[in-house]
Amino acid sequence: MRWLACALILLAGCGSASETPVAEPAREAGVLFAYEVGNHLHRYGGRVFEDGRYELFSGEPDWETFEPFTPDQVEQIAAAVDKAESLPGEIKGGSDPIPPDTARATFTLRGREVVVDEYPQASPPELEAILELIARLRKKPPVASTWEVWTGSETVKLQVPCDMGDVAVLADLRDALFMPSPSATASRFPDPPSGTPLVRIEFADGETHAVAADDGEPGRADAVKAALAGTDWAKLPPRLC
Amino acid sequence: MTPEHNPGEQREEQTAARVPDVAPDVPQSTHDRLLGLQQQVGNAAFGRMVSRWKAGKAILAREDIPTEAEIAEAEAWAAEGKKSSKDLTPGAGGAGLNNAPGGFDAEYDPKLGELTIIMRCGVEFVDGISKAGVARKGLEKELEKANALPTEIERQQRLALFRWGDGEDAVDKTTFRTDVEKEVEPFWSGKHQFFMRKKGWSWLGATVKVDLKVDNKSRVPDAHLTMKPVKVPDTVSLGANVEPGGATNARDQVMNVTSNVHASGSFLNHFVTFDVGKSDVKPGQDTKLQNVIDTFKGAETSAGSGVADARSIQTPVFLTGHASKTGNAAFNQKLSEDRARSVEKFMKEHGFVNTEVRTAEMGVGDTEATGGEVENDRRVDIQIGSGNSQNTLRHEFGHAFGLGDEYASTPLVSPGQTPAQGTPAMGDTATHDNLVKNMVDAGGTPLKGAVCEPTDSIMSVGDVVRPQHYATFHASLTKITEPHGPWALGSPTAKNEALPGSAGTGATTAPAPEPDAVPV
Repeated sequence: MRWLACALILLAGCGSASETPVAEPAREAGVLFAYEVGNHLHRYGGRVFEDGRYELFSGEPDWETFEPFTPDQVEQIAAAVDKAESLPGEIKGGSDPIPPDTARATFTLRGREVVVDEYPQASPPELEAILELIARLRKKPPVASTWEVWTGSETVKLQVPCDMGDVAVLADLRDALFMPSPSATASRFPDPPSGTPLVRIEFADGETHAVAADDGEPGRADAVKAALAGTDWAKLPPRLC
Repeated sequence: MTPEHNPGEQREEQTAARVPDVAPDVPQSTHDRLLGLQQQVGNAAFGRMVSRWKAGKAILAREDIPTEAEIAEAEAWAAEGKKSSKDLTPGAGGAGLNNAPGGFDAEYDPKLGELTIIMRCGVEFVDGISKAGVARKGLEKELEKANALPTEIERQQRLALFRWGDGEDAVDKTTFRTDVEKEVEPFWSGKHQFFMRKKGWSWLGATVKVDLKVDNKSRVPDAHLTMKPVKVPDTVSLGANVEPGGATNARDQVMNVTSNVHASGSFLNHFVTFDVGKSDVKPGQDTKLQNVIDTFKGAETSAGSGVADARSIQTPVFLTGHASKTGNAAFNQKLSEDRARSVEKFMKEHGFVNTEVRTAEMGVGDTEATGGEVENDRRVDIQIGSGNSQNTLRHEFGHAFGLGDEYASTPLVSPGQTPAQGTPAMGDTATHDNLVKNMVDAGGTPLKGAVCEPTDSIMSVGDVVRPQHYATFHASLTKITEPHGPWALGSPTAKNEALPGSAGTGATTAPAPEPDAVPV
């Protein structure tokens, strides 16, 4: 009986092994700045080398290499690392007892380690400043775009030379265009003439994306029309940022 | 999972038995007494008593039978209606590492025999990558990968997976709210039952129903728990935790999770491989196996003593040997069995506690081999307990109910972490230990408590809800029904039945027969 039950469980797919991922030490030769964060459920980390190499891991223990930093960017990161030089080797959160499943972070500042318990609550501003700097430096250069938008009675052309994510008035329309499984109640928003899209975006590299009133993807056109109905597009300036 | 695989469940069944294991011999001339008892309690109750007492060779004292007055007192109390209390923090009664107080309302309905745990959850939806393209901590890699996509359209589609829909009731938000209830309520409900272990009152039972009321935080001003789900695609994990808040504040707990309510972690399945035609544990694999042993050996009275802590779950281990496709099928069957036995022997010789009773080995030959001479076909699978993955949300709700962690830093679970960092060590006392010790089994024997060790328990690294995980529910039930009690684990009796185990005082050893004891 016991064996039968075990066999049934095995048939159900047991037998694969899974162990808690542990990354190789972040502290490797030439590391300018590194961090490794997590608890028993999930770990992630990143490291910047003095030669500009940039590597990240998340969940899986393998570091993955991404576009390197420029020498100028490395200098900026190095300056931020130097500002954190006086931090103690261990920073406590102060909770007693420490909350369950709390994350812990180990930062490597050149050759020196700083451990932060109760991360991120207890993380000092010097360390957060480095991470914020890296986030700023990694922000992708904007891809300019031109939007042709059906207002309900005409099509207007809007220039977006910045990242579309930085334009608040485009937020709903952006979601309607790109989110998976769109859904919205059918709007009374009037359809454009045949052959005229509801929205057409042309990116600076020539790539285009358009959604028509008869778009084949279920819910997509309704979602776009609902987003279009929420803004008086004709009254917007021709350049949105 | 079958009961055979789960000693915890078996233990519960054993403790729920209504008669002691050991009972003294009794005289035989009892016909008149039995007849009198039958007339007093009725045929149905008498029949149930006889069957149980026969099974346990127990005896029944006449004073164990509830009087009409005692039953009437219970009936009057039950007729008063529901008993309830708001903003309970029963976990505050725990102590030590990782203390989470819990925070919920509780309502007991004597008529339905149901304890309802009501937790209002206010949700604050958090984008994984903001509209402006800023990643939450831990999602830096995902942002880099999105930015590296070849076209802007692909990038925008990828980034959209990290944003919640616009509006309070966007489809993904309503789905999340509903899915949290679907994932958590049935899992934590109905796993164990209580009854009032008081003479004349034991017909009052309490099944447990967890009722989460999940809505946007803006619409739940009196939320017990604030949930902050970070929007990520289902393939992305981000960990989770509960910030406990004040020990006696029932409304300030914060749960950090992801939008993926089905996120899970797998800790309970491992394997070691063998050389061709060999069954001995080879170098390299011995280290791997030692890590499994050191992780799942179970808490001991003292480290390395080999004696199990009384509170240890003693999770069983299932060893299944395999062989590759090459060669003779009969030989491969034997080889697979030899490999399983070899692993069992290694475990016994290298510190696994109670190997004889906790491990079971079998071989399945080459029936599951992929073909050819593949190393992974020459293996022994090591399944710990249920072997199931742990749903992260269910585990975190255990904290929200006031339970602490039961896992421990070991080679395969939170390696290198220490109690000073909030991760328990093997054998540490779980924070809800003393609440568990307040619980009694059907016979009135207190539970042993809760200890930290990697097992298949939901508050460790598995998915099993054991009686100890109802400790804060039990504490709540006790509080809202004061001064009556205690509430014991098990099913309620008929109104005119004696307390379970009363013939033997509820202990594991029965007392000497009383002069007017009724032998069966």
